[in-house]
Amino acid sequence: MKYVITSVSVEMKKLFHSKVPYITFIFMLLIPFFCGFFMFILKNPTTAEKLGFITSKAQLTTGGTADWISYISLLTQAISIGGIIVFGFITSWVFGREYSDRTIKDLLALPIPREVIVYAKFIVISILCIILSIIVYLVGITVGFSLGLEGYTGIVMKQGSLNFFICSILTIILSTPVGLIASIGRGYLSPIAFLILMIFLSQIIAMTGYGIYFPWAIPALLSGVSGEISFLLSSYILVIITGLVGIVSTSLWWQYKDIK
Amino acid sequence: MTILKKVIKTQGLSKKFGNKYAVNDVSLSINQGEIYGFLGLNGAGKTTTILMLLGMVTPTFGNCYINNTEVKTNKIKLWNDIGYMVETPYAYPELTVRDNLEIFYKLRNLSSIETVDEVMDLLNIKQYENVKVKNLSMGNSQRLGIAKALIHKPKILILDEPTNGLDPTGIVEIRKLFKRLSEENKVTILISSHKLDEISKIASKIGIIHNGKLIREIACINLDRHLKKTLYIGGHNIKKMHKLLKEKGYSILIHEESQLIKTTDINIIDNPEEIVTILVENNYPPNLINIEKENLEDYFLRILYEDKEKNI
Repeated sequence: MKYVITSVSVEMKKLFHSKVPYITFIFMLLIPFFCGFFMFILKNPTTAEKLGFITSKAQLTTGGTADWISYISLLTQAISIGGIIVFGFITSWVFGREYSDRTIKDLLALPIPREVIVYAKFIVISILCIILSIIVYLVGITVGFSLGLEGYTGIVMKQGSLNFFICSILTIILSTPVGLIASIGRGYLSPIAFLILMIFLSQIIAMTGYGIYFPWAIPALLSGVSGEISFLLSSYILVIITGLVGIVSTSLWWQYKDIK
Repeated sequence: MTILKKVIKTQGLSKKFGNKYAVNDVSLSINQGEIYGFLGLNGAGKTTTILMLLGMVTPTFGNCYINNTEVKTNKIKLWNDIGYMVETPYAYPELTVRDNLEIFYKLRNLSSIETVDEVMDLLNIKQYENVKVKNLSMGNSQRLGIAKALIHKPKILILDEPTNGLDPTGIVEIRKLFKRLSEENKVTILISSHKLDEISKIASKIGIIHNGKLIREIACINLDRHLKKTLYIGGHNIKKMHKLLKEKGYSILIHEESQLIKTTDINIIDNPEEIVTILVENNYPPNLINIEKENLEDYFLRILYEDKEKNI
């Protein structure tokens, strides 16, 4: 436990002294403001008419009603897709920077097991991603209230918030294989390519109807992006297995792969 | 008689990348308090050997032992006694010198934060403690790399090209530091380098690695014996002097370029007065007697050449 606490504090220092939290914070802030913008258009038909195609797109995505159910659902969809990119980017940076900054060798002959350093990295990544999700949620709620959306009830908020955080956590879990790709690719480029590929494949696989079997498509499907929310236990299990495979394989890579 | 403790040992250490051996059957041993100079050209296998000693590369064959414990990635306690720096030192660029050292203070589980200040003082980088690493000069980055290796006062130091990027004053300073650590604290040091002069000034033993093979190991105290010596003799009538000495059975020749008598016969070189007497007695008094000793660089190149010839 002592090793974990030490490694986490070191990884926190490295991550929070970098620009990554600020860049991702700004990027994630776009989510509630864009979602709020869609709601604003839906709530104001005159403006909607003037903007034409944007209105039709907004109706297509949210069901066309400017209320809390649609709004929280939209926020959840946005974090499920945007989170794959942002959380994946954070993971690729945390692991890839050790290779691109060539500091990896400094971490491999220390009186701390290598796997603990890997776990600490995943813990710190999760902490930042959870903070970002909470910020998106809180800013989103504030934007929702400032827009004066209709349909605010305790049940709607409870169910919507729960779904938002479940999808956020599933998206965070899916970032673990990025750690392995960054370690194999020894930098940032391969994981970014991997993320783009996963998003592309999720779109294709979701369209064929097999999305619930493809981990990277699951959070978006659970968020209701396809118009209906599917709850399948097997989907949760699949995401969790993918996350565990990511952690274990990254840890094994760090423990046994030769460093040149 | 003191029995010296073997601190670093490799047995038949080999590493194959694809079909090529980067390190081939290297067996070396380094005693406590010894400074071992690991010499070799770029790509000779120095860094791969060091990476195997540090558990970062798994040997294809053979083993590495540190303090009689076989090097394995899961034997983490082993690293408490070892400080290391592999190739050019890198650090976290957005963090300051102090932050970087504090990271290793934590990761090495040290108890007193003063160790950070002590090591900065030791490496003369205290004035840069709040400078971000990305703004450091190459020499100071090198000092930071050495500071990271020394922060926990290790008993063993494994350093790959530690003086790269240092200015001449820095090189002397670091050399003195390593000497002091070895002599006063009995720290065992393995230094790899291709700077022969540098190594000869510091090492107690030198190992020469070429094409992955350890081709020669010499204790520096005996190095003089291995360096080739050449005796040159000058005079007014070189041809007659040459003829006379030849008639007396000496193994000599005339060096075409300098028109001097030249010999590498160790018996003549160790007793030059013998042939000088003969020359004087025969009215050919020499006006120049010079013994030239091969420098370490020439010796190194000769060893590599001999190894190449052997393998043809």
